[in-house]
Amino acid sequence: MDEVGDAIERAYRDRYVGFRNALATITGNRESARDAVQEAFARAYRDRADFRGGSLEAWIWRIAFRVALGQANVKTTGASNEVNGALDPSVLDPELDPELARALRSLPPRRRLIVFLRYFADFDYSQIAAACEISEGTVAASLAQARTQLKQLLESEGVRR
Amino acid sequence: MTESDADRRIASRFAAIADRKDDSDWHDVLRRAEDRGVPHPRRPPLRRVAIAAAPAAAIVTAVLLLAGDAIFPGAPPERALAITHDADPVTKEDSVRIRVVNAGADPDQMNAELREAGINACVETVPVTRDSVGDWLGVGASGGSPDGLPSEPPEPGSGDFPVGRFLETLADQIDEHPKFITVSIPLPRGVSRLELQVGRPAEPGEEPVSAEGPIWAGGPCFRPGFSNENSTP
Repeated sequence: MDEVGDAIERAYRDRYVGFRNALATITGNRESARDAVQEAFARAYRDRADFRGGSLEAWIWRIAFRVALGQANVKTTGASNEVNGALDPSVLDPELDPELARALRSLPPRRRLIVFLRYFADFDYSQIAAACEISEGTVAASLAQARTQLKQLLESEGVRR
Repeated sequence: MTESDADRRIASRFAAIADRKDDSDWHDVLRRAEDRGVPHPRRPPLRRVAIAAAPAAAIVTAVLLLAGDAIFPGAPPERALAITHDADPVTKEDSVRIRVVNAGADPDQMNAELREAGINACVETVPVTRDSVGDWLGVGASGGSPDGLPSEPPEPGSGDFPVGRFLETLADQIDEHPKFITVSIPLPRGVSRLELQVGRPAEPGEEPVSAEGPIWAGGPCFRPGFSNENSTP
């Protein structure tokens, strides 16, 4: 097998759960998120000759993101693949941690997505930057702002626990 | 609470609610890829031409560098914008990423460079403090009302109309990373011209505009939001 194909398979085996959980925040459930991950890796594998270097995981993420948005749109509006119309990521099962879910809802959608990429998909700053096509500085700033916004929740948790 | 404390605590909350079930299936990925007719790593047909052309290009480049102004008496001006095309690997939609590399350049030069990239734009430069030089500060659009668009101009943020979404996307980008914007091309139906504001160094004695201040009203073209050229009586 070729080098990029091997790397895609490694990324899949290492990061499948993180990808699925992050995508579930967009698609709304685990099954469709799983389908989006499968589809995205299949497309990435098929089109691997188009990979031009940089972060392979970020490249796959961008494909997965498009696939997930397409799924979300089909289910919600039937509209075409419009990024901003569908970008409203949320915790899959808010009952598991209602406080966290509520606090996350207070974040703007893009910042929320960065938080999900950090904590669900376990992306580092450079991967998030590459995935979202923004600078690492913007990632750091967004996460810092998110933490500030979540501070009240975190502090109250600190008191209780 | 330090930032790393906060990071740890958020991570632990996410870990507690994360779905750990691993239902991955690599063979299914391969099957799906095969179903679509997987091309094995392919060599772009132009590569051979590129390789063959490389030595010739190197010679031409060397000659041009050596000759310099003898061939081009008026050497081409420094680029005002760094513009890169980026086709989405899935949708194949084309987009351009635009970064200002010479904020002191004439707006007409920026307009010309954008036109070369397929964008009809009117750029306006605004005096700003040093840290905002080269930042994209505002975005607007003008156009007509072709079929399918509302007679009233959509508000940015409405999300209901292609133009509204288009402007909202650009405005979000400027909020998140003012140093560059990515514009999908062609421009959406109904948008005939993109209007942009960019920060430039303030001239001596000129008052820089602050982000919190009023909208700069000194330029020839920029109007925030959408202006419908056909709506005026």
